[in-house]
Amino acid sequence: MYGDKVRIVWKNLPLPFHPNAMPAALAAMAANEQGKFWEMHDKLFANQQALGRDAYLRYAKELKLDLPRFTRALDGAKYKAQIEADTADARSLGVTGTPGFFVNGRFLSGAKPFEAFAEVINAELKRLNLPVPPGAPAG
Amino acid sequence: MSKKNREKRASEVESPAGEGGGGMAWLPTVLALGALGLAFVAWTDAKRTRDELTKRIVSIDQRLIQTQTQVASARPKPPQQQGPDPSKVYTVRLDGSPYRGNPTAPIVIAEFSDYQ
Repeated sequence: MYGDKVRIVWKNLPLPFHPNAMPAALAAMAANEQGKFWEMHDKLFANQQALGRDAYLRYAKELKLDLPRFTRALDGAKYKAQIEADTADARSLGVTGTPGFFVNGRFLSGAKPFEAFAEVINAELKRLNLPVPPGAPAG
Repeated sequence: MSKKNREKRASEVESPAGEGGGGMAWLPTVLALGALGLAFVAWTDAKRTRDELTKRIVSIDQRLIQTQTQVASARPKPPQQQGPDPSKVYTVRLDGSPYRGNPTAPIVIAEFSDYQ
């Protein structure tokens, strides 16, 4: 509905009490290296109950990634520092749970209904003197 | 002597009757005073009882307020707003992070999340 009005940026926040969260984040970032972040993200999300190295390698194969390169990045925890930098950003912003959203810097916590996002997005569009798309929930 | 005796007797005869009438006359007054006295005692008593009850109610009220205060302070405080202040605008570092959508979009949603 908002089309090219919106950009969604992923910030890694693997929670310490989610043992598979860091390896999954490493797998997604390893796919990102080959331009397939969101494809891997979607597979990981769709299979949250079946996270594990075998699954990551299978998804990489399904996404036709360069497997040796993917495996090196995954096993070498190549993007661990970047993930930890995201986590440090979360900490300094005060985000403690997932998911946490910032819409043009305005915080929305937890899995909120679309309307909650639409409200903030519409307010931002108005503030920027941009048209609110027809059909967008009144904010 | 006989006349004097007669007068004396008359006076003696009259006298008891006269005194008798006077004795009956004070009775209502005494009764009224007695009733008044009883009423006063009863009123004083009732007043004292009421004053005591009022005092006790006031003290019970005070103790109730004290107890409520203690309970309120003992009760765990409602969790304060967790995380960032929704009324503030934060700057989120975005360089190098995966994104989708128009790179120059006016609306940027930063999502902090994991997969589990």
